Amino acid sequence: MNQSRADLIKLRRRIVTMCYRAKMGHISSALSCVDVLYVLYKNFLNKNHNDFILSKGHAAPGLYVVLNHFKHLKDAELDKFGTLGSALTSHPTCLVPGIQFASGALGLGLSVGVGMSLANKIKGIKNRKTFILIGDGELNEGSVWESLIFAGNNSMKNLIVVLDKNNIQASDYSKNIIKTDPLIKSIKKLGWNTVFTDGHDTEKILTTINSVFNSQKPTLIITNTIKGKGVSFMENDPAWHHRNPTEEEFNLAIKELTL
Amino acid sequence: MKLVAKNSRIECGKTIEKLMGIHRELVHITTDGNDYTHKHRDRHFDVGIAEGNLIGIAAGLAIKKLPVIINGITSFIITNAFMQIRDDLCFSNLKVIMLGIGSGISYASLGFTHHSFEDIGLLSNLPNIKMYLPADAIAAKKALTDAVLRDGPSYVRIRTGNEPVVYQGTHAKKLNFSKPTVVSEGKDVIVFTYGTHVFKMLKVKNRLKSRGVEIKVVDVNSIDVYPRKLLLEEITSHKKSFVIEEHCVETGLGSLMANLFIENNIKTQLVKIGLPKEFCKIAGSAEELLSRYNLGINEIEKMIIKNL
Repeated sequence: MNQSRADLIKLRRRIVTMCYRAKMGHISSALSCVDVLYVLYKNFLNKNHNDFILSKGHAAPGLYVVLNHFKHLKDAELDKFGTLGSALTSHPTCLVPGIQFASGALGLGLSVGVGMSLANKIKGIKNRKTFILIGDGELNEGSVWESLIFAGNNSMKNLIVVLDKNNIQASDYSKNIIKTDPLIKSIKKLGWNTVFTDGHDTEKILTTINSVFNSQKPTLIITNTIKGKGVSFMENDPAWHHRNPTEEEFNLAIKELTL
Repeated sequence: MKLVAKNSRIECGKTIEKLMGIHRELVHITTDGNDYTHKHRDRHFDVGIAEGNLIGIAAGLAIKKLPVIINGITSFIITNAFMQIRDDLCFSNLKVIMLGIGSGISYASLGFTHHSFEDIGLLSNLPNIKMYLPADAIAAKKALTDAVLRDGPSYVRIRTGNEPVVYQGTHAKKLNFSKPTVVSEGKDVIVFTYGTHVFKMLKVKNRLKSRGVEIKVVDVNSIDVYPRKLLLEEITSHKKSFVIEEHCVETGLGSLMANLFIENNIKTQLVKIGLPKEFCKIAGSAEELLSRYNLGINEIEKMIIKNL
């Protein structure tokens, strides 16, 4: 087993454990995008060379464990997730070391990322990228489209948006609420470079990001993912958006997430 | 003194250009307002008709330590982008200055969609933001200059069109956004107001003087942490207080003052004159509409006499 795979099993186990203990946190949303977060922090964000915004704030447990893995967040702080007085709430804020922006209300992160990228441009910092991780449900939000239009119109080439396409939002499958595929097709028409990859294959995620680094347009990387990835009974089930496991379910999950 | 009228919107545009010349990191963003400022185009952006994106982008710039002035129509910015103001700006205490144009009912016949009678009430709920309520174009320019130097988000509330200038001559030196400005002394009643009603109150004061009534006029030029204590000192010096404002009187300065009275067990009378909690459903000029809401000079005079 390669190192990344081993690390990700450990990180998934940590997500499930901390959410189970705290009796909160969107476990399946975090499991959906933890591979992307891992690749980003391992390769692009670890030395503070680039900027990152988690727009789908409910995946915060995934971000916390990755920040901890790469030594931005101490074990003692991570262990306090959800406890009285901890800055580690179910959605992330800039009070947590390593996090630049408070998110939770969906559809806000992309605009802020556009502003950060614009700041780099004004300052003449040419190669600094701004990564923004958004959920597919966020494409329902009008504010996301305002930012997509602006970034496409202004050829903001240092903007890389990763869309965690797990096809499920809070209450149901996306196809039963607002269909996502036609929306993604229209983003290309707004002046964006769009590419697809497997959101659970770290090699492919890395290759894809590297391949768009010199794009002259803003890039949208659509990562096909499975919500709840790694825990069989949570996978692709809308009910697990909010749920917290019972003791029996927790033990089963940990059994599945063992090296 | 000769009456001078200036347009706050135009003067603020000039001030933004001047401030961008002084503060080389200052960015200006507008929303379909590309004609507003003309200099420093490398730090000027127009996001189009997209208020949420406007505030979000401003927040991103401010996170990267670039202060931002944004401008747009008050009713659209404050209500459409309230979530971004709350979550993006106020939580992180970012240096973004929102210049709201066409506040109150100054857009008159454009109709209720363009009126803002709730902006102060909405923003009063939020931590960290300072609201500047300039009385004229001179005060508006000074508010922008002041806001650029403070940390955290600010809101500068201006109307539209030419407005008489209060802060000229002897008044000019009095203006200071760290405390309410006493623009006129008087022993009988005290009036708390802001915006262009400061000028109106000076007119009313002169009229009532001939009737033997002396009015102290206090310009509550901004709402921040400071007014509570300082306003309290002013209230207790008079037997009768009035609040006069071009905002819903239930949620604006009137509400803030009423709370002060209750919390501090003040037994003197408070009379609130402002916009009612209702949508304006008719056309008319701004002055005609203000008169209809008892906010014209004649009506204010009558209301004060009635409540003496």
